[in-house]
Formats: sequence, C-alpha cells, structure tokens
Amino acid sequence: MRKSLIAIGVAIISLMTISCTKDAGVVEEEKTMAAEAILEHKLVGNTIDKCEEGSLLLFLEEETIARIEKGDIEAVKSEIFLGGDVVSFEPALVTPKNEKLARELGLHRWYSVSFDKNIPVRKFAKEVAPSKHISAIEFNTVVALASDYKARPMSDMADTRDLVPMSSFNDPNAKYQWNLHNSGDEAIAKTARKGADVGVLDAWKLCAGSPDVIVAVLDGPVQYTHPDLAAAMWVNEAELNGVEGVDDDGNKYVDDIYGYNFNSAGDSNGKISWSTEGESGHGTHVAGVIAAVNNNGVGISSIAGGSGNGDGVRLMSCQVFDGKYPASDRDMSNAFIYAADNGACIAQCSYAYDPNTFANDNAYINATSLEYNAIKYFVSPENCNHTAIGQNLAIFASGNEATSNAGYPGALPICVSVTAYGPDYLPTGYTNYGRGCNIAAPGGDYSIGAQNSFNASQILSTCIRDVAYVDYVWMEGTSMACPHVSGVAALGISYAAKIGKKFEGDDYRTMLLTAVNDINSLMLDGTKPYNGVADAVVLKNYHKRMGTGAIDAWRLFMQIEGTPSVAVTVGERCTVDLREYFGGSATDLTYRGIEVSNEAKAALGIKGDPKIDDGMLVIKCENCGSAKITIKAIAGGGQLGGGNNIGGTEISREVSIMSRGVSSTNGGWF
Amino acid sequence: MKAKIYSIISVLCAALLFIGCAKEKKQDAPKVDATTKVVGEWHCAPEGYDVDVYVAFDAAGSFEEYQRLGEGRYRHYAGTWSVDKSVLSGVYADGTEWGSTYTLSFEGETMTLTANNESAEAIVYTKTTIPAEVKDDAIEPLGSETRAEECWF
Repeated sequence: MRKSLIAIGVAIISLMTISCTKDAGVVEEEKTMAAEAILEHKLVGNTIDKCEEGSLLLFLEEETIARIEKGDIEAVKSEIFLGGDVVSFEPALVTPKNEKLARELGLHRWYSVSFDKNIPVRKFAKEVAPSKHISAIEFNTVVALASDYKARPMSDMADTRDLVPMSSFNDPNAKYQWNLHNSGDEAIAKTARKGADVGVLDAWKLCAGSPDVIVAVLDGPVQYTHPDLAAAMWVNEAELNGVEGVDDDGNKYVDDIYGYNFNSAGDSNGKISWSTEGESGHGTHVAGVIAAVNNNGVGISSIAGGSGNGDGVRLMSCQVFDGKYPASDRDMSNAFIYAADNGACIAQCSYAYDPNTFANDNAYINATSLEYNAIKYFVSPENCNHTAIGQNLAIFASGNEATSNAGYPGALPICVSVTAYGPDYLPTGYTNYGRGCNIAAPGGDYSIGAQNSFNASQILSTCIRDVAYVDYVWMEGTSMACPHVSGVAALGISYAAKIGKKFEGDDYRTMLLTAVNDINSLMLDGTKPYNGVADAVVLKNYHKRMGTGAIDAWRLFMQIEGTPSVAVTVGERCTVDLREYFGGSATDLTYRGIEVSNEAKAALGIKGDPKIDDGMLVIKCENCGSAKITIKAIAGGGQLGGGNNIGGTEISREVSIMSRGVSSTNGGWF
Repeated sequence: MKAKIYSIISVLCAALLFIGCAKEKKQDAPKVDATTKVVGEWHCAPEGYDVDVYVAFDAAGSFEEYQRLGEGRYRHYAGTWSVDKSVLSGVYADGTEWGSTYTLSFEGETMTLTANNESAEAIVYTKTTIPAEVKDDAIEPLGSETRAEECWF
C-alpha cells in the first residue's frame, strides 16, 4: 500500500515537473506513462480482456460521494472528466432498499460512466485514472452462460421408446424426465442407472412447492407467457394493475411485472424480451426445471412446480442476458440487488466466468468487486426473504470447460457451485469439477444417449417457441444442473415452512449440501465417452471432486424433519457412520475438526478428544447420557476457499450423541 | 393315633412330592413361555433417553423395529430373532448382530430386556399396538441408500 502511494506521488510529481520543463512531445509521452502507472494502481481486475465497450465502473472516494449526495454531481463530473464528453455518469446500482447494508458493502460508491464506444476502454480509463475522486476503476466485465447453447427440439426424439409415467401427475412429457425419476431405462441411455435422479418422487408426497418461495432466475428471459410457466411466475401486482410507464410500486423500476431486464448492452429498455437476435431460450429452459407447473396436463413436470393447485414456487425473471448481448458486471449486480429487494430467497445463476480467468477468490473479488458485494448483499442474513431459512441462497453453475476447478462466482464460499452428472450417475465430459465445486446434479449427457435418441439423455425442459419452434427442448450443461439444486432448495424451503421449521444462519445451506447420495464409489476406475471419443472421461480423475455428492430431495426433507441421535456404547471405543448428517458421501468428505463443549464432555464422560478416522467419528464415552457435539467439514474438495485459495465451503453440523449400555453398529436400537 | 399321625405325615410328604413335581414342571415352562411371550408388539420410551422404540416380534422369528432416536422420523429396521434359555438374540437384515443379547423377564404386560454385557442395561417394554402412522411414516435408515422406487399416488 505504502509502495503504491509512493508510486502515485512520484507519478504526480513527475507529471508536474514534466509539464514545467520538457518540450510538448516528450511531455505528452511521459504524461501517458505516468497515467499508465496510476491506472495500473487503480485498476482492479486488470487481467480481464472481456468487458463492455463504452463503459467503466468507478469506485469513488467517500468525500466525493458526500459532495454528490449534496447535489454537486455536475461539478464532480466535470472535475473527473475534465469537461470531456460522456454519455452518462450515474450510480452503478439502483439504490438498494437496505441502504445501511449497501453502504457497509460500499455499493453506494460505485458509479458507472458511459462514453463513446469508439474510444478504447483502456484509453478512457487511463485518462480518468489520475482524478482524485476515483479510488478504483473496474472494467465492466461481461460473462457467458454455462451452456453449449444447443437446444435440441423435443420433436427430434424417437417415438418408439417404452417409458412409463413416473407419477400420476398428468404432464405428458414427464416420462422423459430421467432427471426427476430415473428407472434405468436403456431408451434414455444404454448405461442409465436406476436412481440417478434428484429423488423428488417421495418428496412430492410431502410437499410439491409453495408460492411464497420466490426463485430469481438471473439468466436470459423467462418466457412468462409459456403454457407451462405462466402460472408459475412471480407477479408484481402493483405493476400489473398499475399504469404503463409508471413505477407503480415505487421500487425504482418501471413496469416490472414479472421481473426486469437488466441488460444494458441491448435496447430492450428494461422489458423482458425474447425477441432479441441470438436468443437461445436458455433462461426459460432453466426456469422450467425449477417450477414448470405440475399436473396441468401440459408439457413437463418440475421439481417445485406444485401439485396442480397453484402451489408451486414462483419464478422471478431477472434477465441479464439479452440475445446476443452479454451481461456485464453492473447488470448482474443490479439483478442481485433487485432479487434481494423484491422477495427472492434463491438466486438461480447458470453462468460462470471461464474457470481459467481467476486463480483464486481474491483475484475474483478484486476484479469484480461490484458483483461480489452485490452477491454479499443478496445472501446477507438481514436481507433474508423467507422465514424458514437464515439467509438467501446464491446457486451457480460450475461451468462447462471440463476444467479441474469451478468458474467464479460459484467458486466463492458464499455461493453454491453445481457440477453435472448424466443419467449414468457419472460426471459428464463437459463439467468443471474439483476446487470450488460443491454439489452434483443432473446436467444431461448427449454423448451417452441411446442410439437414435441421443437427445433424451439430456435435460428436457421449457423453451421459447419463437426460438425453437416448439415449447420443449433438450439441453445439456452445468447450466441445466444448477436449477436442479435451486429447485430442490426451493422445495425444501417450502416443506420446512409447511411443517413449521426455521433454520438459523447457514444451517439450511449446510443441509442442502449434505442432502446427497454417494457417487464417489462409482468413480474409482473406468472411463466413459464424450463427444465421440470412447474413453474421454477418466472417472478416477473426478473421484471426490464432484462436490459432496448428488443432490437428493428426499434426503433434504429428512434433514429438515430432524436428524436422529447417534447411539454409541458406553465404555467402548465406537466408530460412528455420519451419513445421516453429512450425506451419502460422508466417508469421503474432508473434516476440519470436532468441537466438544465442557458440558458435553461431562455429560458423556469423554476424556480424550473424539476424532474423525477414515470418514467415521471415533468416540469413547464413559457415561450414559446425551449431548451434542459439532463436526466441521468441507463441502467440495480438500481445502477451503477464501483469500488466495479456491476451494470448498465450510459446513458445520451439530451431531447428537446418545451413550447407552448397548448399541448396534448399524444404528439399530438393539 | 400313632398310625393316624403316620398316615397324615405320609399324605403330607406325598403332597409335598407332588408339589415338588408340579413346581419342576413350572420351571420348565419359561423356555417355551419366553419365546411365546416375546411374540407381539412392544413399546419403550426409557427415562433419561430421548428415544421412542416400537418393535414387533412375530412367531416365525422375524422382527420389525421402528425407532426414533432424538429428532426426525421413525427409522425402520428388520431382522430375525430367537430365544434360548430366556436369552433373546437377533440379527438385523443387513447382517449386523444386535449390540448385545438380552435376558428376558416378564411381569404382567411388561417385558424387561437386560443386556448381557458389563452395562447390564435394563429396558422395560410395554405390550402395545404399534400405531399405523408410525409404520406408515417410518423410513429406512438414510445411510442404507435405499429409497422407494415405486410410483406413487
């Protein structure tokens, strides 16, 4: 820091000196060099080469903000841009509802400047960098969706398959949704595995959704007129019944009936649009996985789409991608703030920066500080939008580059990053895996599809007819895996509320990440094909690197209902299976430690410290009784993320120990 | 008189002998009785433990157990049982032996299982009918990775 200040000082002095003594050409050249040095100092994320043209994000000094807030913006503007022509200079974010938190996160200090797109961004940045008003400069980075963009229309499918309906929901195409119920049918894939699904059928017996759970889809548009989605949309009643062109509810957005279009590169002016050139239907597909209306006699079933009685979760379309126009850092950030301020408790984000872009958490945070703090705003406990949980969830795709770490932002410990498996319960050839990846879900796998019906091994969901000429298409990607976790999370919140459960802090996220089935045992050896190459996917490379395991709705419900005590025999050194607490892959997790209070030690008569050995709890109790201990583990990989690391997120479970005269090794009472 | 006294003593002795024989017969009974008595549905919620356990022993030597230890749903276990000389033993369906064998004793509508290990833990079970909702809502232990695969509705 001190070094940097000295550098700036030297640069400023040299600028002054230069202007006094040198001839004009030399002065100009040296001025440029000095400005370059200042820019390097102020620029965050300077490794980014993909950014929005004609746009910069400026992090202003507190004193400057104070002047602007007193109404001095024009003067500040002219001081920063030296009277140069800019199209606009305005706060980067629409003022968040929770202003106190926004200020704590520094969100109020971000300003956006738009200028002539013919001026190279870096050149413009260099010109404004020396301004005393600017604390940091960020390129308005753009990001891509985590999908191959290929929508394979359902009309392509073979019609000779002998699949059975998975439930009595009358959605005619549900029989093709192996992701919801996989019977191991070879018509899906020769290697399809029974049970390789999200385990939702049994869960639906208890709860199929709740309209007070709102999932914000940060993606392309959700086609709110779609026959299977229209009844699942979150509706802003004030805007629906208000005056067109007026901000009827005073939330600073005009006509945001089903959400809003935040994309600033296109020209949709806030209107959710699916007619922009290049639209793929991605956001609508993602939405269908979560909440396409169940039991309505139309199309598909979905994870949290209710039972046909208007009881599904609701979708808020936060459009950030608009056809060929990518989303910028600023667009994303506004979408997160909007979602938080308008009632969403889950942000479904099937996008990721290329996994090679950022080496670790710090690199991402430095480069996209605005977006990072907007995500923090969304997941902050004080902005939680559902009474059953302690904080909102931000769920991301891990990315499709077949790279051994997740793409950001999902790789952050405050987010959930989702990897993709196919109908064979094995990693797909495209999924990112390893560091930063937290949990696996069905993403589809074209490469293992049954002959003549390759498509069916992907994920069938809703699409925009104007784009695909049909209402339903198959797609694959971690983009498709991500909404499975969002859907299960939304379903779980619905169920928790139904049975009156409330979870504090991070507890619900921990339960979500441990509501998993084991898939590691399938990855000890062997290969599978990808893109026509028979042995492309070497399974052992993915062992313990797909996150905690495969998400399972039923397991989540059982965790919500309550986790049973672990019984141990008094006086004996006992080895305890932790799968009820940490999921089917409990023996493969990396454990961080065990906390035992003095009271618990006294109650159970614990003399030495319990430990985790080979994924099992080893404990010896000298007294009969009950007490709770806390076990910490890493969800996703062997190291924690944060700082200069990229890695998993810490999860912590309270485990209830019951010490008695007898216990069976399988947990049975006798 | 003397003869009368002798005959009374003889009758008493004979009666005692009969009584002795009858008692001997009664002592044989537990072997049969314990097995028979175990058959049925039982419940325990021992003091000091946050548990609730139902178990049904059938005459064919199988048992169904529904236990809730602490929070959550009843977990369903099953297996086989046998009694030998008033000692109850069993094996779970997954091949796991019970944590102990138990000496049986009965009193009225209760059955006490005393663990045959150092703890000598004694748990009293009461004859009951297992509520249908306990059976219906019970799940397999999640660690077992079993899950209903059939269609529903």
